[in-house]
Formats: sequence, C-alpha cells, structure tokens
Amino acid sequence: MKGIIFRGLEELVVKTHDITVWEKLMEKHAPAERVYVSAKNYPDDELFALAQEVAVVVDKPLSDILRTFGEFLFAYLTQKHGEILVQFEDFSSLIMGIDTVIHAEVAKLYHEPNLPQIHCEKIDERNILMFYRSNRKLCFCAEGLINGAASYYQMNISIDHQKCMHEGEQECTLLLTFEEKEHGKINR
Amino acid sequence: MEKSTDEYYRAYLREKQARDELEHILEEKTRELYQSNKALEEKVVQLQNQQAVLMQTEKMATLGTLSAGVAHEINNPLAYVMSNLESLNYVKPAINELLVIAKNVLDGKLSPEELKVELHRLNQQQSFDFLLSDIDELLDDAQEGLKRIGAIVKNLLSFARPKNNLLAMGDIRESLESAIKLLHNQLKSTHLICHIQPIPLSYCNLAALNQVFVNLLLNAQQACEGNAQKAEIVVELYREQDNIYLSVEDNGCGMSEQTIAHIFEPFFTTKPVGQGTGMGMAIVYGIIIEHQGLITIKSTQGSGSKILCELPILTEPLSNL
Repeated sequence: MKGIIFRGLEELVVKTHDITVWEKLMEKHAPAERVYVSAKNYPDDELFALAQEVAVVVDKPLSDILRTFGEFLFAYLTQKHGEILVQFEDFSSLIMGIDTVIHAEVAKLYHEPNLPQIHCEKIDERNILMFYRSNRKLCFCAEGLINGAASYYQMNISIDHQKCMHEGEQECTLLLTFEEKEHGKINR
Repeated sequence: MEKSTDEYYRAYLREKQARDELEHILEEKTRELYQSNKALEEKVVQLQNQQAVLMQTEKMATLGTLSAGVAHEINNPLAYVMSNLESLNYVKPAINELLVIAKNVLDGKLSPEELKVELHRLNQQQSFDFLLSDIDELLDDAQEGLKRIGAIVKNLLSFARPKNNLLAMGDIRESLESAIKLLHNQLKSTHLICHIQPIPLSYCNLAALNQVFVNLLLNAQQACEGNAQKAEIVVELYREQDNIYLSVEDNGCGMSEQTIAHIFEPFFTTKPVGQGTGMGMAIVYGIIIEHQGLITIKSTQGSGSKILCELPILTEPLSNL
C-alpha cells in the first residue's frame, strides 16, 4: 500500500484525536523507525492493523472507521492533487472516470500494481452502478471516498452496497444514487 | 508538561511540513520524468517506423543495383522460351493437318489406303521423326526456362517484400542460397566458392537475413571491382556448438581502419555521391543484433576483407507455442 494512504490515516488520527494516539498506534503496529512517505510502499497488513486499532480506540466497527477514513482521504488527496479534479465537470464524470483518469494519474506518480478494478455503468443522470474488485477488499473505504467526492461536489448521495466481497462475492456492487444538495433529500 | 507536549507537536508539524515539501518536489520530478519517458517512448516508436522505412528504401536502392543483372538473368531464358515457342509455331500446321486427317478417319471420310497416302505426304513435308524429338525438346527447354524465370522472380520478391518482422523457425541456408541465386549475374565474373554445410533450423527472420546476405555479397563483389587479379569470394556457412557462422571473404580492395570504425554507422559510405545509401551495413548490423548475433570484420587494404556473422541457434519462445 502506498505511503500516501498511511499519511492520510496519520492526518486523520492526529486531527481527530492527538499526536500521542498516533504515536501509540505506530509503536504497536509499525516498525520502530517507520516514517510514512507518500511514494513508498508499505505492507498492507500495517494499514489494516492501524485501522483495526483505531476502531478499538473509538469503539466503532471497522467498516465505519474505513468509511470515515475514505471520506477524509478524499479531502486529503484533493488538497494534495487538486489538479486532477479539474478534469471532471461534476460528480458523475468523476465517478465514471475513476479507472480511466484517476488511476491513470496515479500510475504517473506512483508505481502501484494493486489498484482496485473499478467499472461503472451509468444507469441515468442520478444513478451509477459501480463494480469494485480488489484483493484488499477495501470497499468500505471506497464508499467513504465516494461520500467525500459527493460532499466536494455538493451532492446528496446514497450508496446501496448490494453485493459485497466480504460476503463471499467475486466483486462488490454498489448502486450510487445522487442529486444536487438544493434538491433536498434523496428519494429512492 | 503541557509546554513540552506543545513543543513536541510543533516539531511534529515541522517534520510533517518538511515531508510534504519533499514529497511535492518528488511528485513534480516524477511527473516530469513520466512525461519525458512518455515522449521518449513515442520517439522510439517513431524511430522504429523510420528505421523500417529506411530499410525498405535501402532495399529498393539495392534492387536498383540488381535490376540490370536481374533483367539479364530473365532475358536469357526468356529468349529461348520465345524462340522455342516460335519453332512450335512452325510445326503447328503439320499437327493441325494430322488432327484433320485423324478426324476424317474417325468420320469415315478416309479409307485406310487414303490415310496411308495422306500420312506419307505429310511425312515428306515434315518428318515425323524430327517432330517427335523436336517437340519434346522444345517443350522441355521452354518449361525449364520458365522455371528459371519463376525462380528469379521468387528470389526477387522475397528480397523486395517489406520486412514483416516475422520470426519463425527457418533454415538460414535457404536464405543464403536465395541471395546467391539473386546475385547470379552480378557474381558471374567472380570466382565464387561456397562451403555451405547443413545447419539446424533457428528462430529467425529469413527475409531480413536474405537482405544481410545480399548486402554482404554485393559489397564483396563491389570491393573486387577493378582488381588486377581474378576476383574471388568465399562464402562459408557452418555450425559450431550453439552458433551458426556465416562468413563472406573477398580478395578485393580491403578497408582502411577509418572505414572499419564507421562501417556500421547509418549513412556512412565510401561510394561516390549518388551511389549507395550508406545504410547497407547499418541495416546488416541491426538485423544481426536483432538475431542476438555478432558481426566482426577483418580487413587488410589491398588484400581483401572477411565479414563474419555469428548467430546463436535460437528456439521458438515458449510463449509462441
């Protein structure tokens, strides 16, 4: 897993809790000399252990922690690589461009052989069906990232996680239903 | 205690900012590197395309050199094929008449006695013995001549066809023999000695190697032009351990050290302006390297040159099977 993801988690923990909480997590789950650098690779298990520990500290299920982290991560990545978003005119085009644009940009900066496979089908102006497949099974984090993107574009969103790899499926199926915030609450 | 925590936090923020700045620099450099790499990849593709065009141009230029000889090679058999066909035209009336007689016999229009008379008359006009031996000879020779023309055209086509980068298991000997046949006219005033041994099949591009052999043989022949002594070219093809060796040795003018140093450079030529593209040996070198081989030159000015190509015997990659 790329260091930028660890750095996002570090930022989230330091902002929402304290530097000492992060230090404790690091002491427990990372090698003594560890300093996360965005472009470097670190073991996936290290991220999972840190996230698991955060779930214990805040007493919430891991899936919720990953959603929260995903949402925060979107804002963190936007702050670092805002120029990528210029290519999208709205939320819908961003979601449809995850594989072709965002992952292509990721490949330019980081050599990441384990990017998730994301395929999207636009059903209509308000609905997109997303298929997510990854050995890491970070679909809840993906949900958080989608929420983060919706928030960035001032959209109300609802995610129906219809099929999940955690339940033995080959891939996750997520139905995204969205509309601009001024239209009020989403009626599904 | 609180003060020290504050100081610790400030130090953390400073360290984080340092990381951010360094990462920003790294990302900018990575992006630049990515873009430069992409531009380089595009250039490589462009160069590969240009190289293919250059190779074909050089081939066409060589074809220009060969054309007079090839025309002569075709002209000889063509002349006797035409002459034989003309001779066959002379015997055509006799055969026609024979057929008419045969038809009349079948239709009952001629009695056996009349048939005998007619045949005697015809035999006196055109000896049947002569016809029997001559027609066979005329047809056999014409057929042989057309086969020769066919072989020349086939060799010419296999040389002129654009290199299709098709690598396959092939017999390099075939490619060499085709080149020698193609250059038959160019080499006829040269004493050509061939020591061609059977060699195993190798994973290669026969069309490309054909171009190598044509270029090497033409260079050798041109090096011998204007020689006081009888021009001699020795071609050897043999296998030694895991390699196939091809050498072309001539007793021509030889090369200077400076020529040897630059011989594989594109557009380097010792020929007068307008003759030769200067790409011949550069292409030979490229093709030999493509076949994971080596090429070495031994030359003495005034005595001659020997070009040795060492080609490893390659097997078809497993991914192709």
